[in-house]
Amino acid sequence: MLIIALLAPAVAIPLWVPLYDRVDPRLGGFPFFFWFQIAMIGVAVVLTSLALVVAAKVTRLDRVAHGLSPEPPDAS
Amino acid sequence: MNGVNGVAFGVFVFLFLVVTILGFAASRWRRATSLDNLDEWGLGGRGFGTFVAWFLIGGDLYTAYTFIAVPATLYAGSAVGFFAIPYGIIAYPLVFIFLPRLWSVSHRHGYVTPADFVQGRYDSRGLALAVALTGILATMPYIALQLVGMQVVLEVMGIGTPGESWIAKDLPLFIAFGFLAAYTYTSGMRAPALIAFVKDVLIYVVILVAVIYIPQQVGGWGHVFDAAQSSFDAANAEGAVPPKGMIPPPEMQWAYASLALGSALALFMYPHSVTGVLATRNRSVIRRNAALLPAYSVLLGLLSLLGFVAIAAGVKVANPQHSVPQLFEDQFSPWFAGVAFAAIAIGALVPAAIMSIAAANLWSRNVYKAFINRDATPAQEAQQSKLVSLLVKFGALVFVLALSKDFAINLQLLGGVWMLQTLPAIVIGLYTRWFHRWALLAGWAVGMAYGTWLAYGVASPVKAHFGGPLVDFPGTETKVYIAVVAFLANLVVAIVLTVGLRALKVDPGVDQTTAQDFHADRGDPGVEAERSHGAPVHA
Repeated sequence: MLIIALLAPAVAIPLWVPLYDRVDPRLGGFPFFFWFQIAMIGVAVVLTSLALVVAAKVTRLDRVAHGLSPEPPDAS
Repeated sequence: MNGVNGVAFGVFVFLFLVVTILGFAASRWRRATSLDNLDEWGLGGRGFGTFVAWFLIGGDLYTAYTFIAVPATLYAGSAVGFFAIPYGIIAYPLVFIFLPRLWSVSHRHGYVTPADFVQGRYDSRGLALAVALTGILATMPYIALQLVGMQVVLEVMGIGTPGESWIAKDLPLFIAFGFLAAYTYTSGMRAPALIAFVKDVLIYVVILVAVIYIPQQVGGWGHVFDAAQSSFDAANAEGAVPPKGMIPPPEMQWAYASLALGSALALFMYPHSVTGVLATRNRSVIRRNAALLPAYSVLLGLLSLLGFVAIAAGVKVANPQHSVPQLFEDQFSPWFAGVAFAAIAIGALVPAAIMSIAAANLWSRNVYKAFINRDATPAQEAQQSKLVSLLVKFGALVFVLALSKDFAINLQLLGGVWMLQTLPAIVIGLYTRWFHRWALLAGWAVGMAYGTWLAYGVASPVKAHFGGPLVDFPGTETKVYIAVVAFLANLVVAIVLTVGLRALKVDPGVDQTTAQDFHADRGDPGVEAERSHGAPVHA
């Protein structure tokens, strides 16, 4: 659930087009529409990286819940 | 179109030869005892780690055609084309959530294709066949588009100018594709994996240089956007239809969002992306890559804006797809222009190879083995795949040369619409068996037919049918992506029929999978065993 909550903004914000479909404010000459979306890529990467940390813990719990060892036997 | 520049052409040919040698040498890379089974030939031994997978999947998803088509839409003043960026943002969280489950269940049961999973989960060869045929159908025009991308580069270089003889025009394309077919045949998935390194390094260098160097030459980014805006204003003053703009007009916001969402959902239904993901060595490789692959999206975003840079630099081309290659030729010294052209052309080879392998695997597993030769040995399966990978590439070549380019683009458009119709069977199937197999099949059929019919009805200023990806959402005047409309119809049919079929207690089939299968990782019982019959030596 925490993973979903972390990743939800990365899916929802790009779909909310009226939020960013505008020219101003510009940044370094770039209209808002363009720099906002390119910046969103960075935000999504940060959120995904956080989700990665959470997922490591969740995966251990899931594995135990499904009758597997907490760590994969061959984690190489 | 001017003559061929010797230096640019020399660099281009040199890089192309390097890649060809790599492609053949790839069969020795991470060498397996034999390549005559699909785990080895079709999935490269299922052993690619985070690093290799990043190059492989990145090289697979960000194709040459993307690198040409997206900036072309901005050049042409249709900002909706920039949806490729939100599409890339949305896709990776979805990958992060869904695909580890597909990885696990596929490795437990030795599934090579998404249709294998559907067969195992729903016990229905019919449904699996539907998924497989959708994948093959959608992949063929996609391969054809890679050729279109290569053709654009060759044309800008001055080779194959329209009007010349058939041989001079198409021979280079034949040679390039002949080599590609030969080393894919011998090396399988290892060839694109190794070539992807070269492709991606070249693409990164070219685009970084392009977005830093060229805008400075034409007066900086601020000037670039102003020049684009005044060019669009001038075109609109002359009555351009549809009006041009730097950002999407408000009435296109739903179109923009639905294109991004529909494409993101369809992306990981495509056989070539599933193939790339299943070639990874363990479950966490996919998740790490979901955080690393967006680097390519940044690149694509910056590259797209070169469409505006081309306007500011005064590039005038009739075919917008020529805008960025022409910009490179105008602005770069000949040797670096050669590097740039090679980067795009090699960028076409990696996805074309993976797509043809993926389509061939669908054929071998879900048509040949499921219906024609039910006792096929792994070696026979691999042989089928090798032959079909040749056939598929040849088909794509015929597509581009014999039929019109427009036809390939239309079908590619339909490809996204079609692929999304397999989502209920694949993605929802990763979580629940609630849907009935026949309801899924009926939903798929309705979605395919409805989506195709909607696309047929779209007229554009130059075409009577298949004129674009957007329709009015039923009952409104809001433009949305056809795939999403067809998908909703698909889902409604699947839900209603599932309720009915369950009430009538129609046989739901035997589910081969268990809850544990969706969590299994490398080394767990049943997972290592699947890989070992190819006896890879790189364990």
